[in-house]
Amino acid sequence: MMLNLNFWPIDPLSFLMLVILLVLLPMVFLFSLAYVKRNYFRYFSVLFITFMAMLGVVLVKDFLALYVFLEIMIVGIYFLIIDNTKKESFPAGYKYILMMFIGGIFILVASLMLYNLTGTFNMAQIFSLVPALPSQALLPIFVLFTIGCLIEIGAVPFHVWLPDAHPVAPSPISALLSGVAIKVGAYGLIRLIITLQMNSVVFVWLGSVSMVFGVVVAMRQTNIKRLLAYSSISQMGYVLLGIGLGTGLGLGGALFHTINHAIFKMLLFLCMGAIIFSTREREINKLGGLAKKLPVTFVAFCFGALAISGIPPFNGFASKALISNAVAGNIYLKIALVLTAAGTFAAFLKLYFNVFLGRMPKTLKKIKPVPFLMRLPMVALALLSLLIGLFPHIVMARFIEPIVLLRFSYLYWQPGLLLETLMIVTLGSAIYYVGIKSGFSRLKGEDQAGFFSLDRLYCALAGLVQNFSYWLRHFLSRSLNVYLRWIFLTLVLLLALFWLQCN
Amino acid sequence: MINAPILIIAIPLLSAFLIHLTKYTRFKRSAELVAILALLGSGLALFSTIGSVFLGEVIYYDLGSWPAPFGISLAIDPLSFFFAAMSLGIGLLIIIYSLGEYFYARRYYSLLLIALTGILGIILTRDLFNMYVFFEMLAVASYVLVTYKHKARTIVASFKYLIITEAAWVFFLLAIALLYVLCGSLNMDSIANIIPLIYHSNQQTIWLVFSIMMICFGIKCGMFPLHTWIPEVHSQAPTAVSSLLSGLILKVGLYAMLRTFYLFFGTTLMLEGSVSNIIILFGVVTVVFGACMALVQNELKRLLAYSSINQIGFILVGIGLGTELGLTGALFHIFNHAIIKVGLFFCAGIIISQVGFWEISRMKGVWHKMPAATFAFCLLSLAVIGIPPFNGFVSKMFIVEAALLAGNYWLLLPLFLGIILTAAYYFRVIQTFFSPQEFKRKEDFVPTPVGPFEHFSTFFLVGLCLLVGLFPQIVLNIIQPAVKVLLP
Repeated sequence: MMLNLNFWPIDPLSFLMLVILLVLLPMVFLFSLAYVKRNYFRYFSVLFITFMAMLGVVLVKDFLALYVFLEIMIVGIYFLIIDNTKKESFPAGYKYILMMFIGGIFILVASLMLYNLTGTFNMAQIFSLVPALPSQALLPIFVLFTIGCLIEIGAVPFHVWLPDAHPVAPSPISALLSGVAIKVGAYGLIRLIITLQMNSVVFVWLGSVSMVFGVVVAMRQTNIKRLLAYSSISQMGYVLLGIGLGTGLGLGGALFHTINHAIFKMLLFLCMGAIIFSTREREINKLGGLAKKLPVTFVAFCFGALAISGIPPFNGFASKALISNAVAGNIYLKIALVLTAAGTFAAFLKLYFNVFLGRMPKTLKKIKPVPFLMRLPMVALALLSLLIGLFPHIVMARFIEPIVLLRFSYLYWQPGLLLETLMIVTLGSAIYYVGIKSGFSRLKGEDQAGFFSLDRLYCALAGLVQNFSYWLRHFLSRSLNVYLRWIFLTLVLLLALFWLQCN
Repeated sequence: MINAPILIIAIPLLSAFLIHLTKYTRFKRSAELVAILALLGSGLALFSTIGSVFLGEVIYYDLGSWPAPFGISLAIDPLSFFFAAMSLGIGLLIIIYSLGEYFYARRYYSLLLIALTGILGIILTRDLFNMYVFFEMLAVASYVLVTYKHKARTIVASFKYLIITEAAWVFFLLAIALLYVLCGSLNMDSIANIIPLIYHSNQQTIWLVFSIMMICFGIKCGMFPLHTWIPEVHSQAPTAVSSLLSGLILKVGLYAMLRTFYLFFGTTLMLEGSVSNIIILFGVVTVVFGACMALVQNELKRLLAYSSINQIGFILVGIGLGTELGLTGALFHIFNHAIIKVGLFFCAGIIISQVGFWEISRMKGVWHKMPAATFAFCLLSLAVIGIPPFNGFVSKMFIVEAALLAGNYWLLLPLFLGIILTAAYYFRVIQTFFSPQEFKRKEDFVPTPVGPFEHFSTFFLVGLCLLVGLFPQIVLNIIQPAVKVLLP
């Protein structure tokens, strides 16, 4: 039962994730170089440990080693989230590390059970042994591992860490979280499905709930990074939906959306990071009219917003087209897809009109220029987004078709999809207009958890444990007499137990 | 080499008295030098036996040449070797840490050596009454060590410690008497041979002996309802003594439990499911209780003490499972917890001596003042939580895997609750350390320079944690023969 670090052979799935990481991690690094102002050594050493762990997770061919790298990644990201040592970052970081740790434990138990069943942690060996195993023995493993991965992804009942952690983290780390860390969770899920050759329709429902929930809540947000965080929940819903469909087309769409979301969401977070860097503001109502002052950021943001809404010719369109094709028969899922895309468009229209256009508030007089090292990754990611959108079949043929063993490079430019896009744009604009007029899509105001908020449920659970512990501490006296009484009571208890055993 | 067992005990014991003679020397730190040399000499004697012990030979030494069933015999087998090596290594590090922490007098080093002699004696002896004598020797030395700083609170804590542990030894004496009546011998090997023969005719008496031993070793190792002295004493003792208590004295209780339970009752009582279930039950309650209490402590050293109770619970679960994997996990976790917790107490000592108070809520911004100690604290707490690639992960995984293999799926829930709560309370401390700085240089801020000795011993342990976590085979090679001793 020893840790076995074998990275070979690099199969197509690992290769895909490796390429994503090798493209995106340098962007985070470049942005950080300009962003981080103090504690260089602490920040960059933790950042590189996290990079190493991320590469390890996607490359290693052993479930135990995967867990080990995942934990290192989680702890690294925790220390990066609290790196700015602001008051509000600690509760969010605490929630992040605890939820991730619980998710990690689910993954560890599933791996250990898999080991007890097969005698190995090696993915290739498990893959070859699985057909001979009874499916009722595999089911608990599948469920536990899946719950772990869903917590890492931030899918809907387990999403509560995500909107808290993103706004308080340093901007490059928000980009890292949304662009890469949650993709690592999706990788774990896809890896499990491929290895165990099992799938579940539950993912479809979880995915569609995540999609609609994420986008509805995103429209209400006033903090620019929090809005993007909820949008991430929504976009990962697409990935889950594609995985759950169980077809090659669905999986291909999910993988392609993973790549594309990684690129455009990192781009958007870096844009928001640049805005926060130059204005020191993150509330929508305190921003406005930045298009003239930050032209490069503005153009990059437009690329990202169009991509995330699924407008051609950007990359989001290509992957959403695949998923749309994959759900072809199901009218409810189709409606959910269109509504989500329209809602996303509306949410980003809100950012477009209230951050980049409109009147600049008087408080925003001192705007720092965005340094070159911040503009460079933004421009690179925006161009990448456009290029993948223009030539999706190259990416598909090189990276995704070897994984799903299907060819579907012909599915993009169909008139039906273009019609759908038109519908999304009209519907999205209408939703934006109605949302602003009715006050649903707020421009200011505190984000208060509602009565049915899951966040409250989790906090209540944690509070329960804490209150129990306070009660316990209060209950136990610190007197020597009580201590001695405990000893004799224990002896009586032990003897009673043995007496019961005797008779 | 044939005299190694007696040398291991005699060298520190004689040096403890020799230290008082060093006041006639000119060299200022001669007491410390004698203490270190004594431990090195004892270690040399221990390591001279390494070859034959790991070839499967047990080295016996009969005191006064009286043969085994009548006289007192000492023995080194892989299990004793493992515990003795751990004790000597950690004892050495504690002495190195003490060099910098405080200007301790000769009395301190003398008592420390007597305590270590007691620990080594318990580990090596094969005579039950002799074990009792060494336990008393350890206890007396440690009462005085706890009150070393002569403050009212330390004296109260030490008094509670005295009363509770003496209660334990009264029970132990009772158990010894009962066993002597049953078996007619005090030699552990002959008791182990006789008990299976008389088990069926004296079942209830043997259960009584087992219960009493469970109580006295439970008090010593910190099992749930008997843990009461641990937080009291750990929070009041000087740091070096707290780490001695947590790192070695708790582990000695576990050693005695392992040795007597498996040697005496291994082929009879321990095979009955109810007995192992009782140990597991106590372990599980200890895990959850220690974690819950640590969650709401505001004193750093008290939190570490409850964390020790929490980790002891994991070890008890491993002992209760009784499978080869479970015992490997338990022994490995004993080693890991010893090095991690000693390191954590060192860090806590450095931090507390610098800021001058022990409330966690006031330690905001400690990171800015002492990055090195905070860094070590973070890494060690990751290790104790069980985050790879540190050593705590490997041993906790062994215990969880043993529970899974034994089919005890219900065990997973409290164990994981314990692990998650461990993360919860350590990250609460870590985030306080990194919080925005609030404490100013007030009158209660007593800056004392932290010397190289403290940092050396702390970072040595951090490095050891990482090394053992990356290459657990180093320690497992010693543990596997030790498990073979328990499960023949």
